[in-house]
Amino acid sequence: MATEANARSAVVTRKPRRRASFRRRETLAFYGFVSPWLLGFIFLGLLPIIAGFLISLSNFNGLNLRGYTVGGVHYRGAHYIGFGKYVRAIHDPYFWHSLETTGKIALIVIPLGIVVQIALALLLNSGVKMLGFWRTMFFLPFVIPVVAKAFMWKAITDQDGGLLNRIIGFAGGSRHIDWLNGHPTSLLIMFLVWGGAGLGMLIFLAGMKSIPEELYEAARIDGAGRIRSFRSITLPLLTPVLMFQVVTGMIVVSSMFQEPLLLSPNMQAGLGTYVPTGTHVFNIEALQQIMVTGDWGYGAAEIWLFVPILLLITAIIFFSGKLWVYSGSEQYK
Amino acid sequence: MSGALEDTRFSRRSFLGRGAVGVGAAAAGSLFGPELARAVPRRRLSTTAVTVMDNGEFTDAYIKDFESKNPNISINRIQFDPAKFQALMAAGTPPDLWRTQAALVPQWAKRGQLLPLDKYFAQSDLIHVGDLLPASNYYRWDGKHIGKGPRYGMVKDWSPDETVFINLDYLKGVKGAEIPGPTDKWTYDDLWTLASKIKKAKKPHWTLDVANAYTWIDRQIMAMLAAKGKTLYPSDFSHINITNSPEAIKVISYLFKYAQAKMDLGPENPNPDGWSGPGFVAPKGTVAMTQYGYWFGGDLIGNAAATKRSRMLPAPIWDGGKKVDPTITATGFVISGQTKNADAAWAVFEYYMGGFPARDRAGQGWGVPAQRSLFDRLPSTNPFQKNNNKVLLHELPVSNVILQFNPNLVGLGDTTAVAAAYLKYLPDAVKGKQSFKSFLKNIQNDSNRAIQQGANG
Repeated sequence: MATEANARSAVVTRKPRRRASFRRRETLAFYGFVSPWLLGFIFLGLLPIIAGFLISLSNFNGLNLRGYTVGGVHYRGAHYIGFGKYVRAIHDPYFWHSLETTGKIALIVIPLGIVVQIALALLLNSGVKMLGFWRTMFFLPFVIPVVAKAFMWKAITDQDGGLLNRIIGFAGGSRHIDWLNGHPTSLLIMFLVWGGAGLGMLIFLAGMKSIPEELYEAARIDGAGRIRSFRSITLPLLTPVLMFQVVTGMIVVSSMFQEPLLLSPNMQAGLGTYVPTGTHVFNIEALQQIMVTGDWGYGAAEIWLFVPILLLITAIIFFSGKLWVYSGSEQYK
Repeated sequence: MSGALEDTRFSRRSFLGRGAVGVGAAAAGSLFGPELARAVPRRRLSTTAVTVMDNGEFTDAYIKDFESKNPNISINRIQFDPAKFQALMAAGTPPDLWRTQAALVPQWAKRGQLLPLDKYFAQSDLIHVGDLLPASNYYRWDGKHIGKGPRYGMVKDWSPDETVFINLDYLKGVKGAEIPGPTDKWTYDDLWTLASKIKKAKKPHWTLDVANAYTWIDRQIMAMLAAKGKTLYPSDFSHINITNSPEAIKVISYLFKYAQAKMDLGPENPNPDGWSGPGFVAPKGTVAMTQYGYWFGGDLIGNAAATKRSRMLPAPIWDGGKKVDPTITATGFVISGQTKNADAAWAVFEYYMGGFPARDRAGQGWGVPAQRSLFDRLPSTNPFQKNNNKVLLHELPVSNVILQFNPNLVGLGDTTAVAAAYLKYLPDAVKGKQSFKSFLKNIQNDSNRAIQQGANG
């Protein structure tokens, strides 16, 4: 009996140990698989974010990581100076102007971009010949490096002899429109819409291809025309894609800095280049504070002040999505 | 046979095992680099690597030549990139040597980030301090003044930068337009009159490039103030003198006139090239005049048409002022105070500044050489070069002014906070959206904020 009981208890106690060992291996495997991403996030995402916040509270100028002594006078290295940079940024009209400029550009580029992308996707979804060719042509601007695109646009929009001015002149307009300097915002908007059209078009096209053909057939039987089908079937079923495009559009506009810099009239000064007020977006403002004036703390404070604004806008987009994004249930109206 | 073949194959286990050993060794090497280097016998790792950051002028041919003469030193050249340089400096791991300009040197010297080179200069066979022209004094700093104290570097080449180049095609048919001879005296008012006549008669899109399209505008203002015997900053560098300085106001008003008349290459009349060089060599020549130094001739030298139609003119002076023609760039090299290979870094520095590359540069007319002894190498084969040399010799005696750049202005690009403020407010001021008085005040406020921040850290 005693031997049998011992044997049973051995069986009983062995099972959980196996399970525990299996679970531990599973856990280890899990962490093993996610660790590349996790380490990447910690070292390339989280730590820079924390460092950025600490810099915003310091007088770090890119050169004073350590203290130094000159002529018997000791200068402390970078140190905590409180929230002064935040206060200064809040009272700086140029900071607010850069936010306003970013907002204005986002408000035009995102909707206009979506309209163009949907239009292109509809065109390609309408049984056009050589679909692959057109898809490639429209997608091409997306894969061209931004620097090449910018210089191409500068040539196209050149005041004297640029292709755009020639076309406008041929149509009876002025041949000498100073796009770079006189209309920098319009130029940037056109550039962004054109550059993002290819990818957006592909995403919308994929969304359209996934809409069941039966829905259109049923609509046709019910007498619906193309416009009605688009309004009542295509558009509602594309709202998840629309939501995605709005969010990614926000990300693109809020993180943009190369485009305004490259499209500025005079690139001679590199990162210190003068960027016209119409395209002096938030990132340019923060970047130039850091790179040109060496005011790392101020640039970092500006970035941190942008974070709650961006979170608020993202929250509004997500919560409003409940009202207009089709999710496959009765929520669709 | 088959057994032998099997032996030479990698099994999955052995492949993974050897791979792991390889990866481990690579990781250990990167983690314990210096320790590993010390542990490995000297014969295998005897080469010292020196990191040089420049814009490509330190050519592969120079590197090959240097390494062949110094087999124990290898050069790792990094293309200058402001963001990369900023990151390296901020992290406290700068390159061993880097190319820079005079205006940026004081900020590093003040913060002890440069290696004093006096002992190396004293021992050098290639560079003799007595042979150096005054422009190299820009690389000296005694804690209070630029131009005195230890040497932290030297210019690679330089030029009196207030001289003017003109495209003579723009003079044809312009009534009453006169240009000075190589040694003639002319004033800033004469320059304005000439520019205005050209603008009226020929309507060039860009009449005069001042201070590299304003990116060096603070240096230009300093040079023009020096001709009035004034400075942009007080001796303690604590602030900028603009609204409280009638001379500074006069200088900026003078420069502002060009922007208002759309004669310049500023943000309100931008040039797609960003500066006047390409405009001078373009087939039709799109820029009429540019206020650059002797070195600009080197930029044109490869283009026969451009050299034929261009001429170097002496530096203008203020009416009643004294003639000065300092260099505002003084491009050169410095060695990091944190270098772990000081001797090897100096060997590279010495080679580039006093060896074959220095002689090579002097022969190209790409700036005035740093050493007097290299003067006879300046190109002087065609009328364009002969005229350039005549002007240069006339300007040299007044080119020894050392402008006092502000060490409290921190920035790693060519553009300082002062120039950035100038460019920022200029378009609104030209359009009348802000008064000239506000324009000056805004530049002063932005500059002072940057100066105060730099003074404390």
